[in-house]
Amino acid sequence: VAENSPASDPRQTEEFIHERWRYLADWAPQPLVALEGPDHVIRYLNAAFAELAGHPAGALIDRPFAEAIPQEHGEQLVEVLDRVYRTGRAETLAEQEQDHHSPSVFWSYAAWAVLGADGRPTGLLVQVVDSTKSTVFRRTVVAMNEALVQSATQLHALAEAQASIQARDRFLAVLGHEIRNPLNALNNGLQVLKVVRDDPDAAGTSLAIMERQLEQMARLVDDLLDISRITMGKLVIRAERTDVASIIRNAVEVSLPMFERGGHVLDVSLPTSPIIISADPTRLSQVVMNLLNNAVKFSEPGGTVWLSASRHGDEVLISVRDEGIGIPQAQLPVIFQIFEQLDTEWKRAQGGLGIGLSLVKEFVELHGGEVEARSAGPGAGSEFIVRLPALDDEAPSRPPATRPGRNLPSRRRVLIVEDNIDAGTSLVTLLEIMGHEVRLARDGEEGVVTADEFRPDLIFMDLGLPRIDGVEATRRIRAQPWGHAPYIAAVTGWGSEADKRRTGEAGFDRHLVKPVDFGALKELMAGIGDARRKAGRS
Amino acid sequence: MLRVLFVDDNSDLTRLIGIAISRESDMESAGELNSAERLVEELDRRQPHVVVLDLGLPGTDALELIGRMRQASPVVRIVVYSGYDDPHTIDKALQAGASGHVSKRQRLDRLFDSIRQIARGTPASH
Repeated sequence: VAENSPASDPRQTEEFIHERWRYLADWAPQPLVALEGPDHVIRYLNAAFAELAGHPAGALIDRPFAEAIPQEHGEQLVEVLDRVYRTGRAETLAEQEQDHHSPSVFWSYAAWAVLGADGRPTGLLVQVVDSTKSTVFRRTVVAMNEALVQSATQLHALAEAQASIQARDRFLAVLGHEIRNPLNALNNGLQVLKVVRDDPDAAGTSLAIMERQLEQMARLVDDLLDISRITMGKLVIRAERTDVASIIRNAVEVSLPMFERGGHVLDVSLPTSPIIISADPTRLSQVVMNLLNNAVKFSEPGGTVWLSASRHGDEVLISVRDEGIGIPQAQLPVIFQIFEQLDTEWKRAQGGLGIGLSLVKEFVELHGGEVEARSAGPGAGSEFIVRLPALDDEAPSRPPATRPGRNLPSRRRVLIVEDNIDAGTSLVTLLEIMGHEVRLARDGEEGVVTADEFRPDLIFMDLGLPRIDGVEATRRIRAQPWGHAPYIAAVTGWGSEADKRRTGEAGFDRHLVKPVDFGALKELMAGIGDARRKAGRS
Repeated sequence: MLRVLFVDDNSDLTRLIGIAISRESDMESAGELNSAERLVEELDRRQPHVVVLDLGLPGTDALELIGRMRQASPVVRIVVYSGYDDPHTIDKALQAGASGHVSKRQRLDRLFDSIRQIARGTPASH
């Protein structure tokens, strides 16, 4: 047929083409069938299809296609054929497995419509491919890929497990060091105490150091117990309606000695009206304390730490900012993770375990909040921001008289006359967070001038001051027309009876011996109104 | 009088040792440093006979520091004061130029004895 040249008669030409196609179809290696009508009756099949179907061509002609194919393919395939017949759009049905074959056999089908003169399908052409080889190959590749992914995942998990074991070992090593350190100091302190019995100053210093080291160790152990409680899910938060300011005051009260030791300055900024949250006051104070501790630890002596609380919509934001060593970008995401952060060179260089920040995150999250660390990088300082859900402004459980505010009777004007900047500043901070209006004067003369301008309710007067001393400054204040009004407390390192008599004669109302503890200060501030009334001066 | 400089990041520990040494008739404190920063410069200023150096100063390569101290002051004696007692690290510190080692577990009088021995030129390890 192929050798014949095309004839010029169009009918002959058509016949010629028809013959050629018929020849191609008959001997094509791909199994092929032509179906007619909506029941997909076989009107033509080639030799390859007959062989694939395993029946002589004569047995299949004029039979529905479903009878020529494996029964298990029937339903799904007929659905496809129906759709192609209905829509005229070609479709395929790939990788149909045949039952009862071992090894497996797969057929794939492609069906397209034969259109009549009106453009509607009159039948279908279906090509069937024994796709066993390619299907088995593809499935093998997929299975191998899955196995690879699985082993990679297992390897990754194994590596993670090893890393966490290493991190734990490193943690234990650092923990040992952290416990050993105060133990060494305690041990040395005991030995020193034995030899300095005759020297009360040296003995006092040793005892104070030992007390501090013991406290440090106790805090470390408490932190470890908290971590283990959290890990075991046994930590209980006792939430109550509470004012953020009172939580911050507690934390600051406990942290002030630490600020004084390093000469750090604490700048506290609190809102004028209460922000009520549902919180466990102990745990949340611990959060603020740990953040303050962290800020001091990573700041140069004398550096400033800013602590603030403010309300933003439904949230309260507590921020602790420092101008210390800062945090590298890569460290920010793991800064709260107890084991991971030890894993970095940077963290190891900083020393410590990182339990504090880890507890901050845990406690904040147990309160339904979140904590974020920010830093522009090494040397640029850091800021930690705690966000907690705020409750409605109404705080029924709180008597209004105890709220801090400008016009409330508990808010007093306080003047501190103190030449030691650290001692003065920490007292200012303490009184400010108690809600008082505070001024600081650095010597006796400045004290007298400031008292005249400021007209304080209360003056804390250091005695050993430059220019004129505290006793003389008090005499001058008392000599003013308004000078009888302020309650003046001497704050001094000298505590003998003779000293007390001297200050009493100079017009002081009270003689306090340094260091003034927070309890005594609170008691004094609360008692001033009564004292002044009794003295007939208020 | 034997002048001793203490370097340890635990300021309470250095302070206690400072108090204890003030009781020793033949020694005095040449100062207490809580970081290795400026240590090499301080050697020149404070002129200690012996430096007692904590091996575990955070952020400090103690071995490298010992090398620099030796270069800056060939006569100063260095006593490594460590809490770990890891023999490998101590050997390395001695190789780097330290004259002796004292464990932080030791009593202070043992520390002072070792300082005296090392100052006399006798190697000591406790």
